[in-house]
Amino acid sequence: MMIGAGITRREDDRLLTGHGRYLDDLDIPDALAAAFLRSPHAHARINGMDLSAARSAPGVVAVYSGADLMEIQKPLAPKVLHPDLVDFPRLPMPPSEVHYVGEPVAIVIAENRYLAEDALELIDVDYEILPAIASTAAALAPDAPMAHSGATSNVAVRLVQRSGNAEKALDEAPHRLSEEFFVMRGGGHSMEPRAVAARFEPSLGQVTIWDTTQSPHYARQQLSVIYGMAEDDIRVVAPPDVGGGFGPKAQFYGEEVVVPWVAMKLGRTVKWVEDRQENFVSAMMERSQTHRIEVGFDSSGKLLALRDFVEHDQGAYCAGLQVPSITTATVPGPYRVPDIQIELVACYTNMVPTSSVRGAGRPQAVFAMERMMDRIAEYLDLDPAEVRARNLIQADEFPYRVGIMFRDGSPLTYDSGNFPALLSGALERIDYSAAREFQAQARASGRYVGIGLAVYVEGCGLGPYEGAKIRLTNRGKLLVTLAAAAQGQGYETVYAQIAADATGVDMEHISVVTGDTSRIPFGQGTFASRITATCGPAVHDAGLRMRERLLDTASRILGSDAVTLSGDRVSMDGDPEKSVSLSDIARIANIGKHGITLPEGIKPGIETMSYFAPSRAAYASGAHAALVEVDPLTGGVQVLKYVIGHDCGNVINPLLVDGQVLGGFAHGIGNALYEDTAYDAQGQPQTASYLDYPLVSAVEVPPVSLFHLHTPSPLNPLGVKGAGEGGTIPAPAAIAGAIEDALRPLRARITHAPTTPARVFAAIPRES
Amino acid sequence: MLIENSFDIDATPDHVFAFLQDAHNVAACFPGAELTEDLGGDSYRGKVKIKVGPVVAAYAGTATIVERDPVARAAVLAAEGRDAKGSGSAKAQARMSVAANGSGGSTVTFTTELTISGKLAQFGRGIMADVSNRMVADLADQVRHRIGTPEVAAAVSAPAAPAAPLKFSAILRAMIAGLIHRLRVTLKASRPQRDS
Repeated sequence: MMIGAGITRREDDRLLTGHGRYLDDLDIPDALAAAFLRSPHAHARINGMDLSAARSAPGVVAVYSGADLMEIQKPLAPKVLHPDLVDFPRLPMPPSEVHYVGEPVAIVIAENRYLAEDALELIDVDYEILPAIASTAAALAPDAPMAHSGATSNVAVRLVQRSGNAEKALDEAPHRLSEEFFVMRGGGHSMEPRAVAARFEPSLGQVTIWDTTQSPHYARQQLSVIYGMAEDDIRVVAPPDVGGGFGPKAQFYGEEVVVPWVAMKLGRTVKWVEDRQENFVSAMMERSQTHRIEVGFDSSGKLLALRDFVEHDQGAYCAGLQVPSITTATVPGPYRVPDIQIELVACYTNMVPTSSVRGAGRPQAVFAMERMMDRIAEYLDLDPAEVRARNLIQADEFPYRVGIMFRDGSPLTYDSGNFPALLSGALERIDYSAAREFQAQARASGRYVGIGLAVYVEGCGLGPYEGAKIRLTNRGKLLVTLAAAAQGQGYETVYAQIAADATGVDMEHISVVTGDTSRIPFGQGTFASRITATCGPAVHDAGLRMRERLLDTASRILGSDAVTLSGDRVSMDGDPEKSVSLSDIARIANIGKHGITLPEGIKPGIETMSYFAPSRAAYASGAHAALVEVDPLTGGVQVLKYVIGHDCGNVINPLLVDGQVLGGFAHGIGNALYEDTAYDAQGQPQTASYLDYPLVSAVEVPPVSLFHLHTPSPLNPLGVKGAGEGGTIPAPAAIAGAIEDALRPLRARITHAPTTPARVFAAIPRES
Repeated sequence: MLIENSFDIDATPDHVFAFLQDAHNVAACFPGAELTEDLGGDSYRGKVKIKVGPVVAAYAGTATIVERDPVARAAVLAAEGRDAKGSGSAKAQARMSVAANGSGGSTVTFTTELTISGKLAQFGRGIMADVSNRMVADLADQVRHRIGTPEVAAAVSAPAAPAAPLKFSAILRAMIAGLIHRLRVTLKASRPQRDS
């Protein structure tokens, strides 16, 4: 069995020896370099642009403003929509009004990037600066200026999720508590920024686009609509090595429209590689939300009602309502809550649009809910672990209907899980009672130690579908083709493992290619921890069919039904003398003999294909526990111990799952303690370099004790769920809980993530 | 963002205030600044060039003295400029005051509410404060030099050769000095006191 084997990644050899080839490493001959001029203003009208000096600058081939490319100024459509959404068109390179600092307004194509950037400085733009909105609070203030000229409100949409009657249940509850929580903006910060290169082949009428996207088929579909070209004439290739995605690269950007179009217009190859400064101001971000949450409960700590009012920062445009929809569906989490009401207001602001970043709307929901579980415990003087245990959905309650809706309008239903076992496992590994004793001793000696817990669920493995193709190549190998594009997840390894088990062919004879729209017609992309649960079953099914084809063909050649497949040979009664290799099969069924009839019974063309469409999202789950020490004088936080309990169902490769969880945890630590994107009141980014944006490094990420449960999902034949985000989602909540617990004698209230030293310090009430 | 700087100078407050009242004097002392036109009514057209590494911002615009208080020896300057290279704009409201420093000299204090956009803005708050400190330090040197040299002071009533724009190396030094200062403050604050 290869499924379940912790084998090292095939990709590692090239990545670790410097042979990885990222977009800028690809040999794309005679490529011109593109550079974008970006708005320095958060909100401004473009009254004119003088491109003449730039056009005559040395080495410049062409310069275009947004107004020069009106033929492609079509809206980049939001992904998840709602009938009530007030949508403002996000144009590839807006010709008349800009809505955030970093929005592209002109492109220079030159012999090299240096000359292109020099020419950018010669472009004179006449901006009329307009008032800007830099927070949801500012957006919703009475008489607030409009983030978009001509709008009547900064509200993008209001959504309500309801189950039962939360208001009545709150009124009748013996106890109720409320609080306001803030989660700040942060980014994906992939090591390789975004990049696009394009070459038009006039003889074929086809444009080839290299794109660091997570979703090549999605990009092709958008381009097909905007360019008015057939999808077959647009080939989008995501290089096999992409230096991280984390969500922002699953979105579709103006640059991805402008660069190939300009390449076609000029009949020249054009390449644009985003630099770090551009990435800071123009790659989508996430997280900023305000939660005003109220819970009602009885004297045993049992939840009776939950009401949450969420302000979501949509940024300058709506790239889709996926993130806020996920938030509203994630607030109740692993707990049984009879009456729920979650109201959402998504606002436009003059900052980079928001979309998914690893965790995607869930860390905020978990933060609000888990902080309230701690407050219930504090209020009733109960143990926070006990309060959680009393409210968890039990292992025999699945499928569990939460009572509210999933983002596709279907009833939100958890497929499987064992939340109590996750919590007790986490408590056991952090040695909970010993940790409490340690805390008491530490307090007695004037030290501030605290324990934080967070339990969460994560909807993953989303639809609509993902596909895979397996072909017996003419050289007698199996080639697995996925539509999904990889950004370091190890697809070349994992899907070879699944194909090996399904076909019975040794893994060494199987290779995997990804992310090229010309190799497989349909696909969706890598996002929402969905590929293992959607593409996995597709590969498995295509593999089973391939096995059938191979055995069928071999038995026709050998003249016996008693054939077995081993390594890359099919033999009769296990006799190597009476066997055919995959090469032999390919020679007969695929290559054939020109003009000669096939032997009887041989079916030509050995290729199988399968698409898997899950009936609904699978729910992964987990529990985190943190032991921290806080220095109240500096606000510094030290994580002494951290435990992650993780359940993503059956596991294909435990080594890679551990890598995903720990990598996600690094991001979680960033969200919990460090990463904070600041804008000033005029919408100017204040953290636009790593001098001001503290991205975590290995030094800041504490060691983790990691354990797994394997509750299979009934929603797919492999029983798998997603693993990409579980390390991130509950970390800010667990750490914040631990900090508040540590500082309880000082009555500090932790309501912000990240809990930076300044925020911790400010949270401690000072005697005057 | 609000930036506060100050410097001491070995001259009487009245003398210093009178010197700084003349926009030509200020322009001549300010690193990278150039006064190009007197628009009358306390308004001037001018340029300021700031270079931070590869980023050059050459702001051109107007400055107006919107308030003068000879009694309190304070003045408020409102300036607004646009980067000639289209990469941003700057707006500042600066309050300058001169007070006796108790040792016969004066303390000049600048309180500046600065709003900038473009690449320079994205260098972040820490650097802008360090850069402005360095610029004011250069300004102070120039004021000290010129205030004590009447002929130099007199000569600048006509537009003078502008002081050189701030160099990146100087800014880097300022940043490092700022960083060390902040680090010292942090270390002082974090020194464990609970054990005592």
